[in-house]
Amino acid sequence: MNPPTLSYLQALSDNIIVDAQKCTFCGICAEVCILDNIRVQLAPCRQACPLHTNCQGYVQLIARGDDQKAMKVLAEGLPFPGIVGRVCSHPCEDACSRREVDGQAVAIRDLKRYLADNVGLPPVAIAAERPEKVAIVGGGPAGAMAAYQLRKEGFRVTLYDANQRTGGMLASGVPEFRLPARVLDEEMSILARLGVALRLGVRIGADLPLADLLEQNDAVLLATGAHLSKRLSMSGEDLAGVHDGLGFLRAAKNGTTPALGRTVVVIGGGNTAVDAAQTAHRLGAAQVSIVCLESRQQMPAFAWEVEDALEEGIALRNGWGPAQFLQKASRVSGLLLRRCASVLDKDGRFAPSYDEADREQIEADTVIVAIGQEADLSYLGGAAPVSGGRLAADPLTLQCYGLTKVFAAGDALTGPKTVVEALASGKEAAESIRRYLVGDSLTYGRSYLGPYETEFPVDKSKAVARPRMQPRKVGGATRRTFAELQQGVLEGEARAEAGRCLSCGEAFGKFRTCWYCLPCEIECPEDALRVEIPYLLR
Amino acid sequence: MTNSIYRLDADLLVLGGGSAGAMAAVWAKIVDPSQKVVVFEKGEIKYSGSIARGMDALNIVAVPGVSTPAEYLEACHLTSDGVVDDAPSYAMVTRTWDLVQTLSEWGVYFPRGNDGNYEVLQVHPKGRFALTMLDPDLKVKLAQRVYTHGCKVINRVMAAELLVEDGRVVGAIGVNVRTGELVVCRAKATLLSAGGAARFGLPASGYLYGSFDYPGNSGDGYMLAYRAGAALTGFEYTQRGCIIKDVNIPLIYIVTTRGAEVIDGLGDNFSEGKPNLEKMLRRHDEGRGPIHLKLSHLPESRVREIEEILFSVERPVQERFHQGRGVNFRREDIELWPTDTYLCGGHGMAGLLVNDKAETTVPGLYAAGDTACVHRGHLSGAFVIGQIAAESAIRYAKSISAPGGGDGQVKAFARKLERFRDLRGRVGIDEFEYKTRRMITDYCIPPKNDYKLGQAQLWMQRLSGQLPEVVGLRGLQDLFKMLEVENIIGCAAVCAAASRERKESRWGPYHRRTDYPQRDDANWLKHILCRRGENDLDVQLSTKPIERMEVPA
Repeated sequence: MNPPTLSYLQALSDNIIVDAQKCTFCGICAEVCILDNIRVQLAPCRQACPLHTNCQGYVQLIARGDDQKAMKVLAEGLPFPGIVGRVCSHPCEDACSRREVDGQAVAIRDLKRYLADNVGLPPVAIAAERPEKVAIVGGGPAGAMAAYQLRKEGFRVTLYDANQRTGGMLASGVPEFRLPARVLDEEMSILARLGVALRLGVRIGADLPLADLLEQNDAVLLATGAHLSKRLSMSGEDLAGVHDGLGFLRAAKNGTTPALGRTVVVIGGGNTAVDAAQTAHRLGAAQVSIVCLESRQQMPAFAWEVEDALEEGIALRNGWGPAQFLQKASRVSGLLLRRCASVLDKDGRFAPSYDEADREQIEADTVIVAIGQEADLSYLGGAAPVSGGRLAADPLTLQCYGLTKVFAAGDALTGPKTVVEALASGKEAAESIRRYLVGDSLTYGRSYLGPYETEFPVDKSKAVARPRMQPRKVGGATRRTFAELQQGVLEGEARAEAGRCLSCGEAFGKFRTCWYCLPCEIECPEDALRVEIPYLLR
Repeated sequence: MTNSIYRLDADLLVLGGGSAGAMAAVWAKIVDPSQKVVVFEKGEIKYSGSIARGMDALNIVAVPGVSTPAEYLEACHLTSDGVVDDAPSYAMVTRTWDLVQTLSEWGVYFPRGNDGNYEVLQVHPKGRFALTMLDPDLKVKLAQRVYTHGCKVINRVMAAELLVEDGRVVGAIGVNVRTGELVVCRAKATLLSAGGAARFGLPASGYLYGSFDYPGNSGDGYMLAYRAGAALTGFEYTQRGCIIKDVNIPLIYIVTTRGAEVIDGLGDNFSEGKPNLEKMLRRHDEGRGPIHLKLSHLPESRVREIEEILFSVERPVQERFHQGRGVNFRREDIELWPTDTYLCGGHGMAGLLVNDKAETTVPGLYAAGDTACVHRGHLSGAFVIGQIAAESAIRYAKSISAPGGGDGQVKAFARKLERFRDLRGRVGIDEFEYKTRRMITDYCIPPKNDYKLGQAQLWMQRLSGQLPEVVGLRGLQDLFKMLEVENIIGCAAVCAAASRERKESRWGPYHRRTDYPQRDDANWLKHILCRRGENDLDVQLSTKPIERMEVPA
């Protein structure tokens, strides 16, 4: 193709006039335009979100003081705003244009939580009931999202989870101080309210053969997550006082944690390691440290969570790896560390190398190994394809290779990823299942983002530097409890923070093929769009 | 994306979801709900087609006690100068009263006066047939029914080629206008309702989409059928309107039937109480323009009534046009100019040759709406012929087995699309379309003569050859526009050939030849049929006698 220069028509003036103060960037105008003239510039935040959540829309509506409508916009694509408003990795903020003005993104995730804390979810309409049955194995973010989407379409959905609560890793692994159980349970309760049949405490494979699900359902989604902690495979790993990260977090949530002693060392640089360290701190350990191969900058854990850990006095020992467990009697007493020279090889793969001459010994009453997770797929019994320890499925349709009615989503498919990525994966799988069940093409149109523009200039010329809202956190002795660490956003803070949004991108008449027939104007829910007679005809 | 092909099957495939196509799809399901009906729609069916919203009237309704089918045929004979087959028009008009009942049941609003009767106005030379209908949500209501009856609609897909097997149409290949993906539907019966060629002549404004008729209609229906071997007729009937200058929005019927006066540029009032387009265009062409409509003598209540219709139903945007030009009907006149030239089977005569069952000349292929030649059927024709086509198509579909094959045709089309995607010329497709339509305006429209029409054929040859050489794609959205422009060129080639063949003048301003200035009934009171030869530009001509019928008493 030629470079995308302006065509003969595109050089004409645009007659689609959009009031940016009213527009919620919903894209309905583009969808109803019969001559496909209109496009919506997709804000960078929305582009970066794996769910393509309309961040620009709800942030702008908060800035305009219309929280109810903001929640409506948010909930259109996200039924779990309180969860995501607390634990999301917020790639939207990484992409925020505001960073180029004053170095600090708009606090999009916190604004999401503001809405979730203050505005109820709008009612959800369910399509006409359909006879097809779908079984979803795994009630984590991917499975829950798929259940929500498919139930909305009227399918008969049954959700199976080995745990007694839905939420998957959110229920079993994410600590209470980060995501209170009441928030998780409240938001997950939408599934039951919509009519999803919940079969909790049922472990597929052990309690119910997968073959039965395959036989009794028209489609099956495998979204069983990655709930196995990786092992160091070092001698001493089975000593008393050595725990795996996920097991430790699970025990902490269940109140069954063994005595930790005074000194706790956590091995690992990811979020589970930080969660484990902060949990140990709350369980009374006097001294908690994190040992990881990576430098502070390289740590996979979210930087803001590492900051929280440091505030709590948790020590970081970056650039060290375990060489040997030390023991007294049959219990761990410490670690012999070795200096990590490099974490990745020249191709960027995880292949740590060590300076064996540089060693250090540290004491530990408890060691928690949190070096990563993997999927437990033993329940499959060969019923679905596996590759590299993960479910093997088509990357576009998420349909398991070689199978027709079995689909995969979430960490069991991708390996450990973020919550928002798991939600997006569940949504894609649901779309595939819907298509499969109604006899549609699984691939048609799937690579198309929509009537959007992704590359466009953002006017920052009028933006004035204003500091980002700082979230309020509990402090002092409360940091030794499991009370929620970050506090909610106040209305005034939310309005001010939303006011920092540059509102990048808007709808416009791209191709200048307007016949001024007005569906775009009539259908605009905000009366934000006006069609002028094209100048040549005016 | 062309390597990703979406394949599906249907009993009936409807190509084009405008008024005729939407009605046909609904009607097919009413006739037999078990039939699988698929619709390819180039835009979005909720509003697509020539009637994006509503219409001020069903132009043709034989209201019992007001007018008769026989009167309508008489009117058709006059407006077509005799070149019309009775059977399709009769089949259409006899079902129009039932159509009103059906649409009323569907919630379409037909106002009644204090006496309980419908308002029926005269817009034809004989009889009163225009039944007032004021419903700005007509298309939305129709589109909703398409979905609720269980039709499968695939929006944003342009029908690009008919699948033909053993001389029978067995479905179609579509192209997603946004992604370039192919959609292939094999169907027992196929119904073309893709409009006429609205993007044909160049509007005086130079704005390619400023046409009178819906600019999504680029002659696709005509060319698809032509390439599948179907006969086209009436392509020498190059039609123009005379409506609001520049913006090309219609209003004549609404205002002249409610008392507006028609005045020419020299101040001569030639109002007749009903529109006479031929006289308007003639006076304009004779330099007696601009024609203008005077409403200032009307009482305020009548002006308001007119405004309420004009500003709410068919093209409500005209309110802001008049405001922008400072035209208040109470003081200022409305200036009218000829529109761009277009081809249309529902208003004019250019379309697929169909019989009273909406069958084309190719088995398995049916046509309705502006794609079919049912002279002056207008919206009523779109709906009723849509119903008739659906009934015939479903009857046919139930009589045959599901088709197979067509893979070779799909592969060949995919290769063609790939070639288009690779074009690297310096000219954008919009610029190329501008030149094409300027040449059509220069050479295909009256006054015509043999040399001029020969130039039209020469230019269409030249442009057809140039398209793959000079045009370069700037984005995926250009892909379907290239197919559209191919169709526009094809329509112009057929138009030029048919116009050259009809060595007489007929239909007033629509086929006026300076080298044959007289109407010649002895030799030309007949149809000219056009079929495809070796390629689109190789137009094989033949004639067909007019078919009259005894109208039942």
